[in-house]
Amino acid sequence: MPEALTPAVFHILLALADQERHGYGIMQDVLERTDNQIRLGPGTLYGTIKRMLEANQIEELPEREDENHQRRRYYKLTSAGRKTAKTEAERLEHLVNLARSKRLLPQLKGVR
Amino acid sequence: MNLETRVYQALLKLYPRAFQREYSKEMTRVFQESLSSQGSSFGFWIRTFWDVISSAGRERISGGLNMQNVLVKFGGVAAVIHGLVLPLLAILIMTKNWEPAKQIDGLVLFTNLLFNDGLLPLIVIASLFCLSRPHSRMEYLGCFLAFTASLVFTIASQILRQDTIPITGIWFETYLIGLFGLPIGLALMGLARFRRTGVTNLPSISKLLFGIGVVLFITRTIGQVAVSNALASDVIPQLGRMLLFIERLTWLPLAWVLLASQKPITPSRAQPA
Repeated sequence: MPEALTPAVFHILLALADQERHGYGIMQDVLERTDNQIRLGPGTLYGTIKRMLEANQIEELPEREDENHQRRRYYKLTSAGRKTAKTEAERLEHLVNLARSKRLLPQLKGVR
Repeated sequence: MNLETRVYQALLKLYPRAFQREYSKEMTRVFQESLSSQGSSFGFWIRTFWDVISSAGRERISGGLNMQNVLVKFGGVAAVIHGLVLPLLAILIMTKNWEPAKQIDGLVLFTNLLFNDGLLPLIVIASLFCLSRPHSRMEYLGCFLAFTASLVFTIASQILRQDTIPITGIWFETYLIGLFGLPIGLALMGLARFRRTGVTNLPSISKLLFGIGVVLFITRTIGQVAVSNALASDVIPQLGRMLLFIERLTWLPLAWVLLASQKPITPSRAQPA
């Protein structure tokens, strides 16, 4: 079984799965998607981004202006990062299915 | 630049220089945007301090400064001094009927030195030994046991000394939060890490207790060093004060590791097949 990702890494991968984002954009996406449950601080955010860049899971794009005309550093998912996110999602799915088989979660309709 | 930003930029000095050079501008901008959207509330600053302390620790450890080794060695030496010297001193006092000890009950002195100052650091040594396997279940279990034990021993020593714990004013805060809050917060963190829960998922009360505990803990330590009101200080004024200071410092490596390590435990270790 693959090694589990930290919540911060997985959420950053999810935030970048559909579009390129800058740091604050990532933070806002995670916050909205988790109903304000996971709030990445700047230190956690950029520390995790640094490690993900080193692991080639994400890449930094040339600085460009955001919607407020401020120059920002944008990040995008690499193919390795997409693969990591997919593997983690599958790992979580496997765990959820395990929980379903133990009747900890309701069965999905049409699935035995 | 507003005051909040200046405070945050001062906090950024806690990060390694290379990290500051690379990310401080972006972090400051994200901080300012968060500040404008959330407002400068108490909760906002608690979250900000927590974020800086935990991530700066992590960056320093991963930054190749070998901070973990330095802290472990420092904590180990301090714990050995504290864990071995003070119980010996306690025995000497009991057997030689040392003059200063006559002023107080010998059993009280013995239990205080043994429980408060002897056994706790020995458990800290055991925990530090566990740290030689970083990011393992043993590490977090060791931290959890150390701080739980410190809590138990502190309460036990209070009961054995037949002290009453004042419940009003600053003493209430000092005893229940400064003395017990920190170990409780750390024990919860150790337990959470042991159970593979991320630090970010810890209940807010645990983080709050820890935050307040750290502040009062440091204040109390400085206070004890500055004004010798401790038992050991009556016996051996200079050495006692120094040892009290060292005793408190032995906790810091464990706290640092608990705060700094976010790397998950590998499934093979956590869930043996």
